[in-house]
Amino acid sequence: LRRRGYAPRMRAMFVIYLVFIVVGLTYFTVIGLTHH
Amino acid sequence: MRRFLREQSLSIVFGLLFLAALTGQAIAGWHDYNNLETWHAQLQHEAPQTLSLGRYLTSSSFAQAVTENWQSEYLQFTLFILLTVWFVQKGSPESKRLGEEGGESDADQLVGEHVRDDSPRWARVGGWRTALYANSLVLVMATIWVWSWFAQSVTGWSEYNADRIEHEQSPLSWLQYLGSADFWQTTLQNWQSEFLAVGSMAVLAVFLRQRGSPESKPVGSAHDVTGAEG
Repeated sequence: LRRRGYAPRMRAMFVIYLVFIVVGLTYFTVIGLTHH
Repeated sequence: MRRFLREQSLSIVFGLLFLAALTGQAIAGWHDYNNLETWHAQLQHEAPQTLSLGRYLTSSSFAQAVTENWQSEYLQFTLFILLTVWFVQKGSPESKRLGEEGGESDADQLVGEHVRDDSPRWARVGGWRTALYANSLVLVMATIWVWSWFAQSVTGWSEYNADRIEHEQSPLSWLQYLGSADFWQTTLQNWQSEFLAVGSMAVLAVFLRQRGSPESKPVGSAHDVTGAEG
């Protein structure tokens, strides 16, 4: 990984943001589709 | 840990601001919902059906308010990424230099025979994977935009039908809601502000500066220098 110029921890915030957005959108979509 | 915080401070600070604002929106939105419900019930001489905070957080009212803003922000960034490939603004740090419009050469983009040892793997392999990777930022931003716009439509639909039933109107289908004034009013009121903000940023940054910001040209940079970030 060093050879490619980045450390695994560089990915942490990338993964956190994407997971948060996907979980949030799933949550809101389910609320709408179940007519809450 | 200290090194992690320093290297990631921009996304951490924005993440914390987001969580604080979302919490504030949830609490204010909950009070607003219950106030309106109380006034409405008083008018009808009925007992108000107020919600707990937990119930409000799973309501279409809250979900619609969040997603209508999400979709417009992701549309803004999707269009900004995509339109700046072909459209330029002379003197703007948000624009490419004049004459560089389009997808640019393999040499400029470090693909094909111009890849480097440290290029990402999907940029090096060529074929469909490199083509996909070459558009991956806009594809992900556009996916989030379409998904959040869809979420806005179903939560707004649910909310709108609840209002219609309360006012003794028949509920609409989802497709009928997509053609409603309510859906387009909530959509376009967000789009107009995003387009104005992006357009004004592109043009104000031609003549105005913020020392130290990569979103600005260097303070002493000439007004007609395009695409030079400070």
